[in-house]
Amino acid sequence: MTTANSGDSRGKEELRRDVTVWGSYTWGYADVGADIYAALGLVIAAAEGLAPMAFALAGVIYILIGLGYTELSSTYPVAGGGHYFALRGLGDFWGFVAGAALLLDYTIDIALFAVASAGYVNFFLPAVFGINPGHIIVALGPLHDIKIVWLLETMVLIFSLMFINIRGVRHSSRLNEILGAMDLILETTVVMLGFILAWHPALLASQWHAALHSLPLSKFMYGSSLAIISFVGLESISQAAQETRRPATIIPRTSIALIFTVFIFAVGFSTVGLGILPWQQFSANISDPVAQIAKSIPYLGFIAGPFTAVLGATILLISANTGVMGASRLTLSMSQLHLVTGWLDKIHPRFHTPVRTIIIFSAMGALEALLAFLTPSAMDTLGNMYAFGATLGYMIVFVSLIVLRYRDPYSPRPYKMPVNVKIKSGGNTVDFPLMGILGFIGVSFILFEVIFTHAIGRIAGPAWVILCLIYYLFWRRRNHLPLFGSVKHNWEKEQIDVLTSAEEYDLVEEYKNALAQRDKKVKHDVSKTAPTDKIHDNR
Amino acid sequence: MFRKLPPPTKFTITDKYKLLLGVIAIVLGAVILWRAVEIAMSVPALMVSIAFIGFGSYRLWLGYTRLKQLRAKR
Repeated sequence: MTTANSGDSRGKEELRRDVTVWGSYTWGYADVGADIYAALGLVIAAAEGLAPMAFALAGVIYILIGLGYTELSSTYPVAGGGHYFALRGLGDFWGFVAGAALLLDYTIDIALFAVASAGYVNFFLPAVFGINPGHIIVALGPLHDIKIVWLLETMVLIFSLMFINIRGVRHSSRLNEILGAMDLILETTVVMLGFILAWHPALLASQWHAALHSLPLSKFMYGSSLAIISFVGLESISQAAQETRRPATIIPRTSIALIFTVFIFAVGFSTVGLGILPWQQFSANISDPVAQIAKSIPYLGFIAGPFTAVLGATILLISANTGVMGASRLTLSMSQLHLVTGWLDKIHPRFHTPVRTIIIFSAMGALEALLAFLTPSAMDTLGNMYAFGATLGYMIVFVSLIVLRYRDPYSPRPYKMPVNVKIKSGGNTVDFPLMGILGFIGVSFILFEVIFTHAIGRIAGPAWVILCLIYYLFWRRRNHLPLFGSVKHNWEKEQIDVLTSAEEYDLVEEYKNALAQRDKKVKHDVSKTAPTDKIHDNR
Repeated sequence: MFRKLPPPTKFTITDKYKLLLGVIAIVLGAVILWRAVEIAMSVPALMVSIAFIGFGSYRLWLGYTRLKQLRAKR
């Protein structure tokens, strides 16, 4: 795996394809699998005993999103992800809106996972220094509840990541593989041993029934909309696709395995957690929920707790780093497609890294973390924003998936979302994705929940998108580019180039044959209508 | 649903790991179900136990299919 480097934003920078099947799986797992470390406490604090149901509801929608991403990533194996699919399906404007939503997610990713990583570091502080950072609070004017130590730790982590990325981190595939494997083994062990040694079905059932009778619907909606953040990171599927050899064969298998593993762990962790500890304990320890479960396992808790905390802190930091790298990849792709200025992708002469992007988006992440610490719960506030960006981006991706089935029926789809209805359109038979419609409705429902229940997300999220849109319109106008229309692209040539670089030669042939058949059909139609035209001309 | 992979040439350590994971998942699912039925039944317990049993069965079926392919090749 290599970082996205670009000297000239208009030039085509290629990412090296050297990721294996296991590498592709663990890449995704190191990113998506880390989310549960941050989301578990937030969701249980909101949905109480109904947390497993909140995870299951969000998880079903996430499975549909995952299947959609699998189809698009294996069809268009480029690192742009959601914004690229939106641009191909819906044009430049929507490509930019999707990109803006995903950029919001990347900056929140930096902030949220740095905060969560520091939270797991804090697991040790009471034992080592005899202080609980959660109890060190300062007042600043009208704000009385600023957790200053936690805030400072977060800032140190974010600026360290910024510094490391400016110097040029080789975020190697091997590191992801090792961390992903360790995380997988640890999560499996905690869930298994938790169920076998510590789980009390009666405690789970009592919390479940209590919440069923007393939890307000709005709190459950809030919890289920927050649960979506435990599944965010599907962009990593498309990033992995760009760097995987034979992505059409590998991506569908690895991403579907990833989707179901993450789903089982999310529902499994909440079920085992609520059978070991009361929900109030998660609410009081929102920063290190997985370590709280591991600590409670008899016989092994004394070692499993600290080990989980160390791994949680590490993997969350890697996830925060994904935000820094993801933002630079996304802006590189957006500048190549004339959506943002190429100024952002200027390369540092000494370190050969996109220094401007790294500084700007890391600083934004730090600012978001700082502002979040001014609210009663920093993690909750950041979770709000994360959910908004993700659901907006995913909604646009679903629309693009459906539109691309019509606009680009010629690109070979190594994997298609299941359950399709054949519909005739413009002389072609198109597979209309019913599950795509279901996914769109599901994501729209989560976005509705976010807007309805997230006091901060419903204001700050749209404000971010509007600010980005003002920039977009200003920049496009200055560069004499269409404001709401699209710049012309030679997608057919690009698709052939992408598939060729991915070594998917049989797909290249399939694509060329489909295009040749289309051209033949067009010629045939023209020749059929030509005599009529002549008659008209003669008249 | 997927493009076909070439038939396996040998029974690898990954295959053994997948089979083992399948067995563990089925046992774990059965334990959760049994304890929930014995002590206190709840929807999440039922859901998770069925998910583990389903996941384990799928893993075992995958392993069995690969073994069958390998035997047919030999």
